[in-house]
Amino acid sequence: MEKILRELDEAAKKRPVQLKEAKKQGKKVIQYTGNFIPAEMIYAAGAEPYLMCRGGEPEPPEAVLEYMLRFMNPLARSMAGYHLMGLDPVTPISDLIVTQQTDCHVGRVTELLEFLKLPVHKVGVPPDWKKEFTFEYYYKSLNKLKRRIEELTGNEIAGENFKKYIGYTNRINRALRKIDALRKKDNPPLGEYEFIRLNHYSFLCEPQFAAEKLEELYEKLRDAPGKFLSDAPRILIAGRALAIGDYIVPKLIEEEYGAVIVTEMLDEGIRPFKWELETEGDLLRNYAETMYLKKTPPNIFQPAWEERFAFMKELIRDYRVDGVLWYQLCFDEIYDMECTCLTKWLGEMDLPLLKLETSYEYSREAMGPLKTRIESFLDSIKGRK
Amino acid sequence: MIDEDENILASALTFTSYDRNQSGMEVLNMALDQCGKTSAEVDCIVSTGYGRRALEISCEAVPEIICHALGTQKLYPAVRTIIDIGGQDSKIIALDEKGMIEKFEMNDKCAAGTGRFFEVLAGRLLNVSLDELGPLSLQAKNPCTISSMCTIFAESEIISYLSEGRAKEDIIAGMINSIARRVVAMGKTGQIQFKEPIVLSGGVARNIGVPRAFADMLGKKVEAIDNPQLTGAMGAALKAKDLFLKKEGANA
Repeated sequence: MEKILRELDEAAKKRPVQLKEAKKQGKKVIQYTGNFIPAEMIYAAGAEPYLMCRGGEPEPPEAVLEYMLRFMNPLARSMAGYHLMGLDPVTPISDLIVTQQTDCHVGRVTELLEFLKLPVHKVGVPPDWKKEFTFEYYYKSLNKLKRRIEELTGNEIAGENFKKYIGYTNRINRALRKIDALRKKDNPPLGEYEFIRLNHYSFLCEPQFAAEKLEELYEKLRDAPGKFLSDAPRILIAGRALAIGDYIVPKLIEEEYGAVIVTEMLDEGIRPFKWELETEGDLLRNYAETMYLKKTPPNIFQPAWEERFAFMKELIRDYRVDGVLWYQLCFDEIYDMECTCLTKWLGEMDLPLLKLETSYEYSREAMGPLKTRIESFLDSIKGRK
Repeated sequence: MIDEDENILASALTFTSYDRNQSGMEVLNMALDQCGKTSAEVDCIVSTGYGRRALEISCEAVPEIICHALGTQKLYPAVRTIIDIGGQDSKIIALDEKGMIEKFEMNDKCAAGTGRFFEVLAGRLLNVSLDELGPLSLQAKNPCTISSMCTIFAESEIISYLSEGRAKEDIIAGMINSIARRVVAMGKTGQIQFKEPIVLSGGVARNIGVPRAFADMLGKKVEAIDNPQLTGAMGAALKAKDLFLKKEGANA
């Protein structure tokens, strides 16, 4: 597993250099902020997509304070923060930055990017997801994006090409599904620290390469021995995102305290790998339906807490979860509200929950309190088992 | 330090220096001197607190939340809620009827709501020692309202009250209420129900005004534990005994 992770890591690190080369050869570089934007469509237009979801360090969120209030979540602030610090090699060469307008945090940072004179395109994702017209609005937003990309690249997004990249996504998702299923074992051969990075690499690397490596990894892992103790506490991690680079908490839990994060309910920074994309008919409509209507609604959708809790209960049952770790970004108020409900509902199920709130300070400071919280939580679970 | 029957043989306190291993060794030697034992006679050492991993001779490092729960249960077997206010942080630990930790909340990001709040404000502004705070607070006639959000803002408020000529007793009672308000709010945020019996531990429990403030705020009985600064150490000693017996059992 380590060898494949290393290969994927190297490929992901080379990507910004490859993007610079591609740009020199006349290709367009398009950044996007999440799963509501089809990267497959960007590839199909002959452009190079790049996911903007880096976080986990405290300095970039601080770097935007000249322009923004502190009270925006640190992931949103990092989107502009790395650029302002000169640590983002992709934004300066981007021909377009596509941001999904899911909530006020992303909305405000989008405005900041516009203020900084960067080429931004917004895709509307209305939270009132159960209304027909809101779906149509999102679908129309995607069509508008399609036209913008075609105009920018001068290439028509042809069905066959789009289908080819949807095919790669399905291959990646299938491989991730199979790898994910291994985490249901009594002693899984991998934990979240590996699984979340596999997701991140699958976004950053060229899709055919990512699909091949993930398939190869599954073959290596399918009969591999577990890497944890057989009675290790089994944890579900939930919240907005584990951003690219934000690995402190899973690493601590799995490498220092011998527990294993067996599943996750995260809204960003991870592929919706449990859902297959339809490859016949109107591909963009299929994509929109999967992201907006079929997959588990993200926290910002309203009303969605009941659907989300039903999904969480399935995960708890299927992965035999002993405790839930609510990983919240500071100032993410709607996640905070959901956590309040969850604490009550999980309490009724006699399942412990630990809430961690991060402004990405963990990577530099505040490790003492973080360790005390995690260790006490895991010890109390061990006591219950 | 306890024996196999869980009798306390010795206890000692020291301020932690930058070298946390050395501080741990210092306090161990103080305890050994007190009971006339040598380190060779100690079968197992468990360390706890923020410096728990720094003590090199420790057999195991256990987080203080677990140790506070164990130590308090030893003295109050039926305890359901532990409010622990130390110099560095404050915690509320909810236990179920079997004594297992149900949930906990912890404030570690701000001095408000911790013993540091008293340390910073009482000596500097009121010229009152920590030991005098409790008895003085009980003499308050009209407690002041003091911010529970921030030690720095609280400091400005206290200066204003002093310049208005308000009694020290009223200001101290206001400070105590402010801590209790903050800790209770933290518990409510974490949906802790403050089930009785409620026990107060940590250094701040030595202040007799604090349990009363919590009791008034919660409308419930709140008891301060004896030797509140030693509760976590007691839990660590019990854990050490448990660990030693397990090892003995495995070797037998």
